[in-house]
Parts: sequence; C-alpha cells; structure tokens
Amino acid sequence: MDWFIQTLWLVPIYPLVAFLLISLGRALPKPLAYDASEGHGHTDASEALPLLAKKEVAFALTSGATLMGLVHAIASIGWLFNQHNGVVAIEKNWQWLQAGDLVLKLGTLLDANTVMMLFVVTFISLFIQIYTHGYMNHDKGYAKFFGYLALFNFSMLGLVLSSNLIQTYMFWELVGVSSYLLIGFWFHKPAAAAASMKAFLVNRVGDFGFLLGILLLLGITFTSGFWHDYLSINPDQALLSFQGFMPMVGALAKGIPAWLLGLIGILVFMGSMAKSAQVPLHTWLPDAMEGPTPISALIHAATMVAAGVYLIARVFPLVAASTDITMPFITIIGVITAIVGATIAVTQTDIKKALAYSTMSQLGFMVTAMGLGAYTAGLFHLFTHAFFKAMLFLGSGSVIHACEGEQDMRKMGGLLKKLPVTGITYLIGTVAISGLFWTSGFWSKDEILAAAAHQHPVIYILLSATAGLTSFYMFRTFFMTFMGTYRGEAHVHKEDPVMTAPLAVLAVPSLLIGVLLSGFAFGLPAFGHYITHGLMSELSHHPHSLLDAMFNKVGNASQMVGLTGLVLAFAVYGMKLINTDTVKRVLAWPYELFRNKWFFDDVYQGLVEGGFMLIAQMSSTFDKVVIDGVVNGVGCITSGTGGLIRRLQTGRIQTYVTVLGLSVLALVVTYQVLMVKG
Amino acid sequence: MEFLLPILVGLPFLASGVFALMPTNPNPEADAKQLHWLAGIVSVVLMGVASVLAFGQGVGTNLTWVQPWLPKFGLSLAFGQDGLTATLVLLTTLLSLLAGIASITTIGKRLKLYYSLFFLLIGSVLGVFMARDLFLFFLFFELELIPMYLLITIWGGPRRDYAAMKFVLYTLAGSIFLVASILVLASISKGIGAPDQTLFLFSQLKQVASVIATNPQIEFYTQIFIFLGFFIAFSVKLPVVPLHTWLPDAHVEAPTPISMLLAGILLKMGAYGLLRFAFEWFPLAGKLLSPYIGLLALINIVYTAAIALVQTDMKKLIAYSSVSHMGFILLALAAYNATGITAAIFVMVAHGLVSAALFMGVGTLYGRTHSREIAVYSGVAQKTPVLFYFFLLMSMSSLGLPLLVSFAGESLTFYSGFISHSFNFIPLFGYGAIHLSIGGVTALSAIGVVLGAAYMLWLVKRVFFGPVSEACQQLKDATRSEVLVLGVLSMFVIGLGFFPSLLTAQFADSTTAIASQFTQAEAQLQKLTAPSQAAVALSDSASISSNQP
Repeated sequence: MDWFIQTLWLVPIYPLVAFLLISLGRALPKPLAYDASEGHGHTDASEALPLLAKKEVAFALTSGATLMGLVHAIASIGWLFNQHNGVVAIEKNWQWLQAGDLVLKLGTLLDANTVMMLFVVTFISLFIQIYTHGYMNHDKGYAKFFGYLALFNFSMLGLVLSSNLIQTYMFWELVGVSSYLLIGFWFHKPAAAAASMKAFLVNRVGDFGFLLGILLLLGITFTSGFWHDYLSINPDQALLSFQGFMPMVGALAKGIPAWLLGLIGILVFMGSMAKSAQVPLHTWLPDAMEGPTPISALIHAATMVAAGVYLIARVFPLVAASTDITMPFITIIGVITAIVGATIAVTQTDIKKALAYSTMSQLGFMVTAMGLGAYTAGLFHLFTHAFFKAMLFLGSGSVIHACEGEQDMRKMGGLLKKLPVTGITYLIGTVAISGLFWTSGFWSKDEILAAAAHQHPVIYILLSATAGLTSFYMFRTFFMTFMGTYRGEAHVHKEDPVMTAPLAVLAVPSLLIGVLLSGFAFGLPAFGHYITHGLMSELSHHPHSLLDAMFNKVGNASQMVGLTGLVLAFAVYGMKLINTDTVKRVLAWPYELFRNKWFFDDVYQGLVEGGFMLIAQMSSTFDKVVIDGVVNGVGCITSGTGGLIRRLQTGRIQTYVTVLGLSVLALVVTYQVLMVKG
Repeated sequence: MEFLLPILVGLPFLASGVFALMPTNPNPEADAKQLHWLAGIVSVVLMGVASVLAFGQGVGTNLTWVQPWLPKFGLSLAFGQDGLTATLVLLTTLLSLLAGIASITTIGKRLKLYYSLFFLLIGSVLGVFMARDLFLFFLFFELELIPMYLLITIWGGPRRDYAAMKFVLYTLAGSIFLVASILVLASISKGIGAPDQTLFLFSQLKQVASVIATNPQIEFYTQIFIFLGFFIAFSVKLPVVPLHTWLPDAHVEAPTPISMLLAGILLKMGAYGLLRFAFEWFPLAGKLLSPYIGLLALINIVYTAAIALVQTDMKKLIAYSSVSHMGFILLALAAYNATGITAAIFVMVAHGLVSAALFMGVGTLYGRTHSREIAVYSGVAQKTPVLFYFFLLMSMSSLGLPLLVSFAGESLTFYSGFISHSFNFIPLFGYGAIHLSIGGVTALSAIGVVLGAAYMLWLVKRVFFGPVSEACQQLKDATRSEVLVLGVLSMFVIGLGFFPSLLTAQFADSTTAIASQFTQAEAQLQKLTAPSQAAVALSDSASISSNQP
C-alpha cells in the first residue's frame, strides 16, 4: 500500500513506456503481408506481425499502464481516508534543469486534489480504452490510436501530479499536443486537419497568457530576492510550488500593486480559458468533435478540458488574493460561457456538437464556482461531470457506431428499442446533467447554485436559467435520438457488448457518486471535507454550515427549473405539441444568433484573415521590397554600372581569392596607419 | 591531450586534400559508394576525436595548444577547448556525419569535388570554434566562405549564383567591421606594451579588453566601438534583422546537406562570436547596449516569424523560422545573466539539431517532387508515414513543445528575461526613451511562441494532411539513409529534451566564465554611476565595488 503512495512518480511513467513500446512496434520493419493489409484497410495479416506491432499488444500495454495508474489511485484514496487532519500532502521533487540561479524541478504532489483527479483520469481512461477496443476495432490505425491514448495519459497524469506551476505548464502543453494528435487522427479529412490545428493554436493563445503569468509571478518573486531566501531554507522545494509557495502568495501579494496581482491572476487564468473552452477561447472545442468519439469522451469532456478548473484550484490562493479583479473576472467569464454554451447547444442538430456545447456550458458552471470562491463546489462538479459526460459521449459514440457514422439527430429517432443499454444509460446521463432526482449532477450543480445565491442574486438567476436550459437541450437530444420513429436511412446495427459494458459501469457513479459524497449518506463525509481539509480550508470563502442551509433552499427550486426544462423538451420533441419551425420564426433573432454560435468564429476568421495575415503579408513584402531592395541597391551602386557584379558572378574562385587578398591588404595598411598614429 | 586539438582541425583539411587528389574509380556507382563511405569514416573519426577531447578528461576540461607561427607579426597557431567550444565542436562533427549521409540521396554529380569542399567547410568551421588566436579565427571565418560559395554555385538550385554571391558579399561586408575591431584591439594591445609575439592570442586580448574597459587613460567609448564591430560582423552571420536577407536566398538555393550545415552550424558561428568576443571580452559595452540588443531580438523573433507565416516556399519558411529562433539567442544575451547565457548556448544546440532535421525533411520531399512550393503538396502523410512522424516531431520541437530539445532553450530564455535587471527602458539618444524593460521585451517576444506554432502547424497541415494531391500520388517514403539521419537527430531531440542537464553540464564552465565577466561589469558600472548619487551612497558603493575582484 505504502509502496504505491511512495512511487507515485511511476504513474505517468507507465503510459510513457507503453507509448514508447507501441511507437517502437510501429517503427519495426514489417513483413510484406502487413504492408498489403494496410493498403486495403484491414488487418487479417496481424499474425505475421512482430509481437510489438500487434493490436492486442497495443491494447494490453495501454490499458495495463492505465490499470497500474488506477491501482495507485485507489491506494491513494486509502491514504486519503486514513488522514485524520494530520499529514495533508506528500511532495517529492527532482531537479530537471539548472541555469544560473534558476533551478527547475519536476515532482509529484499528493493531496486531496491529486487523489480526486488521479482517480477520475485513470478510472474513466480505463473504461474508455475498453470501449475503444470495440469502437476502433476495424480502424487500421488501431495501434497508433492506443499509442496516442498512452501519450495522452502520460501528459495528463504528469499534469495531475505536478508539484509546481512550471511543471504544470510543461504537461499542460503536452496534453495539448496529445489532443492535437487525436483530433487530427483521421487527418486525411480536411475538417479534422483544420480542427486539430485550430485546437492547438487557440490553446497556444491561452498558453501565451499562462506563460506570461508564470513569468511575471516568477520574475517578481525572483528579483525581489524571495526565492533566494526561501530556497536556502527549503532546498527541496521547487519554484512556484503549489504546496509550499501558493499558500504564501496571499502574504506576498501585499507588496505587489493590486493591478499587477490581478493581471497575473488573469494571465494564468487565460491558460484555463483555452483549455476549459471559456469564452472567448472556446471555439476549438466544438470543432474538436472531428476526433474519434472515445477521444471526445476522454479528453474533450471528462479530463483534459477539466484541467482548466483543476489549474484554478491549484493556484487558488493566487486568484483569491485579487478579490477585486481576478475573481470577478473569472466569475463573469464562467457565467458567460455557461450561457453561450447552453444557448448554442439548443440549436445543434449534430449529437456530438450538442454534447460539446453542453460540456462548454458545464465548464462555465465550474469556472463560475471557482470565481465565486466556491472552491469545493467547482471541483465537485468537475468530479461528477466527468463520469456522466464521459458516459453521454460514449453513448453518442455507440449511437453513431450503430448508425454507420451518422451524427445528425434529425436522421435518428426511436433508437431506444434497438440500442436499449445505450438509451438507458444516455437517459441516466441526461437526468444527471439536468440535476434531477438526486443524481450526481444534482448535488454538485446545486452546490454551485447555492454559492451563487449566497453571493449575488443576478448570478444565481442566470445560472438557474441556464440549468433549466441544460435540462431542455439535453432532453431534446434524448428525445430526438431515442424516442419517436427512426428517420434515418442507415441500417442500425446491434450494440457491441464491449462498448455497452463501460457505459453500464459509468452509469453507477453517474447516479450515485453525488449522494455518496454529499455528506448526507451512510455517514460518509462530504466531498468538500476531503478537498478543503488542510491548507485550503482557510481560503475557501464560505463556512460550510452556511452553504448547507443555502443548499436546502436552492435544491428544491433547481429541481423545479430542471423539471420545467424536461417538460418543455417533452412537449416540443416528445409530443410535438409545439412546432419547432414556429419557434424558429417567432424567435428568429435569438435563433440566428445561437445557430451561428454567437458569430465568434466569423469574427475570428475576419480578424485572422483581415488583420493578422495582412500584417504578416505586409511584413513579407516589406522584407522583400524594402530591406532586400536596399541590399541589392547597395550592391548595384558600389559596383557602378553593375558590371562588377556581373564579373563577380562568373563564380571563379580566383575572383574570390582576389577579394580576400585585397581585404587582407586593407587590413595590413589600416593596421600600419593606426600604428603610426598610435 | 592537447595534441589532439590541432589534429582535429587539421584532419578535415587533410581529408579535403585526399578527396581532391583521389583517383576516380571507372565504375561510377562503385566510385560514389567509395566516396560516401570514406566521407562517413572521416566524419566518424572526427566525432571520435571530438568526443575524446570533450569527455576524455571529464566534462569541462579546458585545453589549449599554442605554437608560434609568425612571431614577427604576432601570429600564433593556437587552438583550445572549453565547454562552449566542445559543445559546438561535437555538434559540428555530428552534423558533418549526418549531412554526409544526407548527401547519398541528394548529391548526384562531381562527388569528389563535393566532398573535398565539404570537408574544407567542416575544417574551417572547426577552426572557427577552436581557434585561440584572433587572427587565426579571422582566417577560418573568411576561409569558410570559399567552400560555401562553391557548394552553393555548383550544386545549388536555379538562382544559385545570385544567392551565393549575396551570401559572400554580405559576410565580407560584415567582416570589414570585424577587421576594424581586430585592428583597434591589436593596436591598443601594442600601445599598452603587451608582448608582440603573441599579439592576437585570446588570453592576451581578453586582458587587453579588460584594460580598455577599466583604464581611464583610454577613451570610454573605445570598448563600445570594438563591441559594435564584433556585433555587426556576427549579426550578419547570426543573422540579425535587417542583415538577414542573404539567409533565405542561400537556404533556398543550397542543396539539402549544405542547408543542414548552414542552419545547423554556420549560423552558430555568429552566436559563438557574439558570446566569445563581444560579450565575454566587452561585458560593459554589452551591458550598456543591451536595451538595443533586446529590441533587435524582439524584432528578430516576431517580425521574421510573421514573415514565415505567409511563405509559399517550404525552405523559405524554415529559413525565416531559423532567423526567428536566432532572435532568442539575442534576447537571452540581452537578459545579461547566467540563466541567459545558458539559454543562449542551449538554443544554439537545439536549433542546430532541429533545423538540420527540418531541412532534411523538406529536402527529402524536394528530392522526390522537385518542388518547394507548399501548394503542390497535400496528404503527404498518407504516402510517407515515416517521414511524416519525423517531421511532426521536429515541428513540435521547433514550436517549443516541452520535453523536446527546443523547449528548454526557449523557456530558459523567457525566464532569464523575467528575472533580469538588465534594463528598464530603451534610451533613444537624447530623444526620450521607449518605456520597455527587459521583461516587457521578453513578454512581447513571447508572441513568437504563438506565431511559431502557427507557421509550423499550418505547414504540417497543408503539406501532410488532407487528401493526397496529384503531385504526391507516387511519393515514396524515406529511404534507409534518410531514416538514419532523421532517427539520429530525433534521438538527440528527445534525449536532450527529457534530460537537458546533460547538455548544460557540458558547457557549464563557459557559462560561469562569461557570467563572472557580467558580474564584474555590473560592479564596474555601479562604480561609474555612483558619483551621480548621494554622497553617502557614493562612498558605500565605491567601497563595495573596490572590494570585489
């Protein structure tokens, strides 16, 4: 048991090894039979392959590595349960790079946050890999896909375990590249190629801010001599460590102007904005649905996109220190994202796109919670959302797989009979995300609503309305897909048990994890008890008893709002009492706004093409015409009529030697002259 | 061990002669094979000698070998090694081997002459890095132009004459400033009575330089003029905007292995010169000029990255990206601290590996389709998966992906800028000032990170993704020799990316040496500016400064 805790650094290493072995297997020379099979897109010849290049081996390596990670995660849950407000964290650091006074370290930090994320990532990852075994079975890039999955797990687990902000930035970028590779997995499709690039670049814009935030924070503390003193007392600590440094930020912040502190907070938050698809850096997430569906479930719903919220949790003392600037900024961005995501989701006909906008909206809820200081509520929602959103995405994948690649919900319907397990688990997920009937989403979302009600009525009203909208659009997708009559042409296949088993497994936490960790069941302590104990508890703005009281008030109201959404969706899409075309006509203006995704993409395209690329083109012309023109002009003038250039261009070595000789002569003459003068 | 120093420099020249005088085998295929093998063996021997020198007596051993040459003129044959030299020599020999292997598929005619010039080039580059006599350095620095000029004009693309002549004239124009600086330095050396027989020895000139900086008898601005002479000469090589326009032309026209060497090691001669002479010898001038160097770095990074974005020619795109990356070296130097020096040297090596691989990748495609136009390509990844993975890896390194080699250099550059006190504003010669500190310049330079990702990923997307274009239907994947070159470079890119301290340990002694010069210069500057402050502060700081070594 203790061994698994002490060797946490192995957790990212397992998938890294799996990735390297799979890559090696793919790089090994292959017998001819394999080449032929690649050309035809099936893998009959897999017997002829070297061991490492086999599909089963790729699957075993990746899922085995994930399973090992899950064992560590479960051991660490045991460790957490044994903490009776004693040891709150275990941190280890190893030196990575030293340059001058600067020492960069990589390390592992185990605390309640880590335990939660470690479990979420490994647990969901493992079941998604099993699902993928079915989903990607006939794809010729099967082994490559599992290799990329392993690479993602390496990066994500490195990020989760990171002990300091600099390391977080490194793995932050690495999860970005795994996401890039997986979105562009079918890169022969132009849409996938474009989406992968967009995802990377939008994230780079966010990371640019994140990097500047890190640099500013480090620069200020470094030049003031803080680190010199601090590290001489604590030589094992890393720069910008979460455990050692972050809790001191509040005290340090008193010496920094408020605007600068706010700026640092906002810059670091920019990283979260891109990764967690917050307005205005959200546009990559819907496009990322071009990737295979298991990826949408794992990376773009459950784990990586939640990393933004996890980052805010990690640097919470930093953002919380700026109560007038950073915190309101985060709240506003979160609320806007929740609303924008939900409103667009209502108009989507592509099942994955609808789910993507729903993810964005839910991430907005989490970010809002962080901005309100409801630290535990935000993380709790991250936790529950990971399970039911992964399940919803896998459900959509099962539907798409059964409908031969069809993603348009207008060409679905009545699938519940043909895909019963998928339909029922999808319904569970829908109920959970709508926060109805004490499912997991109810508990976590209502904690956020309670925090909002406690802080500001306007935010509470906006979020409640969005929650109602969530229920409406999610039941809309359910009714359009699973109820009514089938409207598509594709032949619907049966469900694959390899794919439905993970759905069934994920349904359990989707239903129960909320109530189990709500603090009301079986004498189990609340989620927040684990998360806030230790250093963070002082920073969480609200005493728990107060929130509990608010929670009871908010709970009933939100159930009503959610039910309203359900009833409306049923009326429109289930019973067809209201014609959607009439609604579109009556609400033409908002409908157009939502359907066009609030015009973010159009504005950005205009900015990039009309502004950015224009400047680049102008620079290029300037370089060619002005700078190079001057150079060529000087060349012509010095050579008089240009005759010398012509003669020089004969390319004779003698010419060059003459030039060299002349310069040496010039050297000697000048030297003599200088000597005489000196 | 010292005796190996002249041997390492001499070997390539010897090889060059052997190639020139070798009898031709009547069977052209056997002849080619024989020449490639011989070239490979020479490069491996060079690598071996360089490794023995670098690691034989433990990392960071300083060696010098001096032999009087023409004592009447104060010239000596002096070669030496410290961390910086060893690092660059290792890089040079590695790239020499890899560029040699790359020549197998790219160089079709006059192989004997080719390899003769190739090793002349390698020899002069090694001479540049290892010379410990300034005049000898200058000779090697100029000598390198001859083989480079011929390699481009004989084996180059359609506009090779123009490109090669532009390259030579540019460098020669820069050399005028180098000559001026050398002369002034030598004359002052004579003037203060330093021994004539060793007039140009580094060790002596470094002392002279410190005399120039501290002796009140010598006009204060002398050091700045000498610094500027060095700076301009090496700015052409690095290159620094606006002295960069030779580079895209030269790259585009040069054959693939020569592009690899040009980007991989020839640009590093500029960076090496800046560090070795400008900054190490005249740290005070470097300190005073750092605001302008920072500004130039910013322009270099952002302006050329923007230009790279709209290139339609693959090689030009990568050439401009090279210029952009060289800006990081300038920025790291402008930060004026030990972290910055480490960053600068790290970027040199990282860029040497990555740009060589990128040019190799592009050259591989060019060799098959004879087109450098991006628009011609599409869907290449489906046809050449092996090449695609290598190119993707190198693109990722180029855009600064963590755990690949470029990241450590780039991020150290940024960190060095933000923990630096180098300057708080950029004075405009009595016309006010730009209120941009080193931190501000660094922050703006970080835009290059976004642009760098944009042009590299866009290139990958247009060339490798999407449906297969007509020109690429018959594309063959990388051959064994191409895989070897890219594979070896990938190993270094990943290995040094995961364990960058292996590299920083290699040149740590040079970092320390230059950093101590910086500290001294800062102390001196404090002394110089002290009188303008309050009387108490003056006496305090004066006593502090005088206590320092």
